[in-house]
Amino acid sequence: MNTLILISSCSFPLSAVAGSILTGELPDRHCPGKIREIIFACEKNRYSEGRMCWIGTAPDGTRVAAFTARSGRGILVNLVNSFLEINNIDKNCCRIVEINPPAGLRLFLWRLALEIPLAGRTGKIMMEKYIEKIYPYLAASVKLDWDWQISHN
Amino acid sequence: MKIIYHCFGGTHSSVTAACIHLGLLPRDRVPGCRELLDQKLFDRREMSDIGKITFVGRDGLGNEVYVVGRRNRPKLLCNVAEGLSVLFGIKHENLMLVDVSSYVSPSMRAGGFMSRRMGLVAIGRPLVTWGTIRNYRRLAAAVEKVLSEITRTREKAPGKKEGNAAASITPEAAC
Repeated sequence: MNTLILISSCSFPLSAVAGSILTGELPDRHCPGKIREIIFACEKNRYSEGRMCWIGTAPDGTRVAAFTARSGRGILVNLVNSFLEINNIDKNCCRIVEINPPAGLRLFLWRLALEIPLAGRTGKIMMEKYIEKIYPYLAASVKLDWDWQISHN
Repeated sequence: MKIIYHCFGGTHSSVTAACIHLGLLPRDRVPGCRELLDQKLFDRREMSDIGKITFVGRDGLGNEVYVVGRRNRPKLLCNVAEGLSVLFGIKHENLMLVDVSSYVSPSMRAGGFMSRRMGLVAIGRPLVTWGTIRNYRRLAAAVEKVLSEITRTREKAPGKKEGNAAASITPEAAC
């Protein structure tokens, strides 16, 4: 069975959003209003610092899981790759996709706001705006990457 | 079983512990500088290798010994290992994570920083080697604990399911 592992490296689980687009939980055309609920549901489960977030199964049967670690992209990617290698997981059945959204002023302000006490609410608004902006990118990147993998099989 | 020794950079204390485990370095005496520097991974790994789980060897019991650097984020390693084990149905009892970062002395830290981060190998390497030699007995004792734990687990439950998810052993501090 094919498995897709999504990795992101910021304080917000972008990989979970991308995975939810792939599984059909979120639409792939526009950012839905309920995204904030999904985000907070993820946060409630303490989905951070490398904890796995099980997203679900895509319509084609692909299992989707997401990982995130704040400012730890290199280490997280290396850990996942090498862990799969030492356990002889077949790379043809497992695809690792890094979610690297384009950086912008909103991302910078959101991260800055989250660092400042009492500015958390502002940070969350920035976060929502930023995700709205990069939503098409998330949808496109995850779909394209996985189609590429299928075409090579 | 896969035994993964982990520390900040994955190139000093974890490599030393792995070499002691495999018998590449002595358990009953403190080695000299040359013996330590002859280990191919000691003070050799780069910052880009952080997070790469590297195979060091196989011990007498057939266990595979690995090292990895994970900066100051042991939880990240534990969580990733646990999550991927669940995702791919890897048996938890086949994995042991051993945190040896508590055996890193200030001299090792300073030497490692100079050698690996700043590229001042000529100053950093002797300093980190000296620090490792000073801490060697503590590291050897930690490895002994790991070995006795492995032996006890094997004797206790041959073929039985036992252990926690990505069973973590830290002789002094839990992962």
